[in-house]
Order: sequence, then C-alpha cells, then structure tokens
Amino acid sequence: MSDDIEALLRSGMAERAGAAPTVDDPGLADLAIAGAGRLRRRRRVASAAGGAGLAVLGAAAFVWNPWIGFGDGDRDQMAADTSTVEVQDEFAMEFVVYEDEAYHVFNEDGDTIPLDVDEPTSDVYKLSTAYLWETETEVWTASFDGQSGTAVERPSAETSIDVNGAGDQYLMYTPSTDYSMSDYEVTNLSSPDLSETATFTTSAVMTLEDWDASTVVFTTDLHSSAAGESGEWYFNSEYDLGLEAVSAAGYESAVLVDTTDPNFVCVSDLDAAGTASGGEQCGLIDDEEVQAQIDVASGRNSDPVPLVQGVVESYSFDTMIEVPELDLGEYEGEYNNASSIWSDPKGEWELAGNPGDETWILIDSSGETPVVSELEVPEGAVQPVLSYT
Amino acid sequence: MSEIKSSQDEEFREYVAARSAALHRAAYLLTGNWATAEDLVQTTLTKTYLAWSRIRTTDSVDAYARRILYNTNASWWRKRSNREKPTEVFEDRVDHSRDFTEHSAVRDAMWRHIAALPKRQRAVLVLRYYENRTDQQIADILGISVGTVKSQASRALAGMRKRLGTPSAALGLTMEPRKAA
Repeated sequence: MSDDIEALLRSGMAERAGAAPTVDDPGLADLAIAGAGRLRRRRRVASAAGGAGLAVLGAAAFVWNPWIGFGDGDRDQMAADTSTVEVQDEFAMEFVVYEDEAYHVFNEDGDTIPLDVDEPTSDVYKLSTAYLWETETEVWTASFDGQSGTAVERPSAETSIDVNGAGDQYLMYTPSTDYSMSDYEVTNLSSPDLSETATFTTSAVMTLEDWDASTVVFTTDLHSSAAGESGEWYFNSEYDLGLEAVSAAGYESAVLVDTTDPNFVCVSDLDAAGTASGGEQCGLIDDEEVQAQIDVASGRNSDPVPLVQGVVESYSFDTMIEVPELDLGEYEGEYNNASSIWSDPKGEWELAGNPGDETWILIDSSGETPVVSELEVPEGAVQPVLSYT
Repeated sequence: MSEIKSSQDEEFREYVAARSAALHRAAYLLTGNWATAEDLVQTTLTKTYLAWSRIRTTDSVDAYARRILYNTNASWWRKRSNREKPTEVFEDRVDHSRDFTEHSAVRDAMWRHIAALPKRQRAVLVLRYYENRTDQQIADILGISVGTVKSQASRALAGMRKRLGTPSAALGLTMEPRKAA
C-alpha cells in the first residue's frame, strides 16, 4: 500500500506541477533587487530611529536596545538580548533543561522540577494540573511539583497525543491496523489519579479536533454530500461514523465541521449512553438556530458554541492572517538554520533554535507587530514548555 | 552603480531566469494556489538577493534559495496558533479533456489530504516525491534532523493511507447520506 501511495504521490505531484501556469516574467529578478533595496533602507531607518535611546516594543514591554552602527549591509544591526527572567515574567515561560544527566523543567518561578524520563521524544506541555510528555513507549503526566507522576503505555508505535483547547484533558489517538478506524482514549486531568478516561472508536474519515466534558468536535468531508444545504442529514447512519461509541463514552453531543466549508456544521444529539440521534441537524455556524441546537444537544452542561467556533475558525481561510513579512535582520540566518521551531499554544511567542545553544531567536507576537530578539535561555535548555494555562 | 554590483546583479538575473520556474512549481505544490506561490517565490528571491554577495560564488545558491522558500512558507500563518492549519483548498485545475475517472477521484482525494497536512509534512512530501531529494538533503534544506524527516514523512503517509486506504472513502463512492424530506 505504501508503495502505491508513494507512486501516486510522485505521479500526482509531477502532474500537478506540470499543470502550473508558465512563468514568463523577465522583471522577476529586478523586482527582487528592488525589494531587497527597500528592505535595506528600512533597516537603516530603523537603526537611525533606535539610536536615540531605548524603545519599548509591544505590550510585553521587552526592552529592545537600539541597533547600533550605520553603514553597509546587515552586519551592523544589533538587537538586544532578552533574558530568561523577562520571558518568565512576561510569558510565564518555562523550559525543559538537561542538567546533571537528567531532564528537568525550569519553571516560571525559577524552580527546577525533575522529569522522570530518559528523554522526552515530543514537546512537553503544561496543562491545567500537570505536565504532559511522551517517550517512545509511554505517555507521562507529572504534578507541577514533580512529586507524583503517572505513566500510561502507548498502545502502539503509531499512537500520538493531543490536548484539548482548554488544556484540561488529553487524548491518545491510535489508528486501527487498516487505518479505517480511530481509537481515542481521553483522560480528564482533573479526575483523581487520572482515573477518569473515556474511550471510543470512530470512523477514520473524521478527525477529532477539540472537546470538552460534554461535546466532541470532529472535522470531516460533508461538502461532497451536503454541498452546504441546511437541514437534517444522516451521515452517521449512512457512513457508520461511530457516533454511538462517542455517546457510550459519556458525551452529550457531537458536532461535525466540514473541511471544505468549515462554516457548515452538523449536530448530533447523543444521549451519553450509547445512542446517537437518528439524523444530524446541519447548517451554518453563524445561524442562531444551529447554535441553539449545539447548545441544547450538549445538555447545557458546558459552553459548546465557542468550542465549535474555535474549530471552525481554525479551518477558515479568511481568518488565516498572513504574518507580515518580518525583517529578521542579522538573525535571519540563525532563524533559518534553527533545528526546531516552537510556538506558544496561546500564540504569544515563537522560538527558533537548537537544543543546547545559549541563545534562541524569540519572536514576540503578543503585540500588534511581531518583534524579534535574541533570547538567553537557561543553561542546558532543550525546548520550551508549551503551556495551555 | 559599480561594475562589481552590476555584474552581481546580472548573475542574479541569470539565476532567476534559470531557476524561477522550478521555484514556482515547488511553491505551487507547497501553497496550493498560484497567487500565494508567486508571493512566496518573490519573497524568496528578495531574501536570496540580500545574501547574493555571500552565496553567489558557492555551490549552494539553489540550496540556499530552497531553504528560504520552504522556511518562509512554514513561517507564514504560523502566528495564529501552535497547531498547523491547512491553507486554502487546492485550486482545481480541471482537465476538461478527460472524463471524471477513478484516477482523478483518487488524485482529488490525495490533494485534499495534502492540503490539510501540517506545512512541514507537506514540505517533506514535496521534497521527497516531487524533487526526489534524499532524506539527508531534505533535512539540510528544512534544517531538521534526518529522524524528523522520517517521522514527518511517516506521519504524512500514515494519514494518507488512512484516508485513501478505503477505496470508497478515496473515491467518494460510498452511499450518499439521505437528506430528510
């Protein structure tokens, strides 16, 4: 099967690229040359403006030391360091450090929390009540003081983890051997000893995107069948989506978001006991009637509409705001050569760097305009902790 | 303009003339639409020109440009969230000379899947299956480890197998869901 898919990819990509419009723009190089000239001039202006003193950039109030020096090219730009303490204060940023042949979390208060692990093989997350990380064979959670930890065996090598938007639950996702079904095991971190888990198996044509205590939100292809037509549809019964299993796991409702037009959603009212509604009520997420259906289907045990809207927004092209071209200045090379790029779950910062380096590149996105600086990271830092709190 | 700069600019123009079509095709596969691909290539060429005096005499001009292309694409839209998001649906460039066939249905399903992949996975697929790069070359271009290349490719292929593995799902030939009267 893999060979078939690889052959399909090779031929498909060649065909697709071959169908691309022909490029015949003799002015392309001159446009690039002119654009480069504008960039250089902008940097010089910025340098001159910065020379008068300190400039406080963005809401996070990082101190951006003036670029110094004038003259030719990019070498004359200098940006200030941002210290570990500053990002701990401003972003509550924490780091995973390797020290004394062991991994620790260097938390926002400057305390060191041991991680009982040989080597995390994934990002390390800070959720509502615990740290979460993966190894090759297990998924670990640990209390914030590091005093207690729980390991759960990964069902297979293909198991991956995901965190819900609220950061209070995580799941292990495992595809079936023929990739036709998806097994989910959801753990509620607020339950004693992490004993509260929900397990269900659904069709692989759906992808679980977010969830809370009563509502699960999947994305799938609705457009091919419904083409945006509102009303009652029967996706679950016709496609054997497996929403009954979601119901049996204790959920009150399931919302399907169309991957082609994410504003089009379908609501299935579950009874939290193994039964799904006969059909799904479908319509646009902005429709008050649809929102009321989502609300009612959840049993009003939570606030499901924002949950669904978050998934809709994340799939909506018109909300994908392109980051303005960011002039990385002298850090462009370091940024492009970074082996890892980490992004804050809350979207306030991005880091690019190499584990073990003394400095990483910080892009502060908390203000209206992204700001670049060089961040001094704690000794032995291998990655930032990605926090949902 | 000095003769040296004029000469360098001329070299850059020659490079662009020789390679821009290939960059555009890769950008088209990465972004899924031509307008964004053009923006991406223009940005890439501007950045490449900024470094031209350093890289023009090396053997790695094209590798540098490609690294810029792939990393610039990865950085766009990154601000929104830590979760990678699909870009817009791939434009359909329908071949009207051909009937709708099983072949094209599978291709369509494949492109829908590629359009929804995280950008790094999509970049790995384009480099591996369109540009026929080795994993080491892909790692060099993307600035990641070979292990990460393998894992990203593995995840992308697993997802594709999941999506295309069921012929009915791939072809969209399953029973149409009824709509209530």
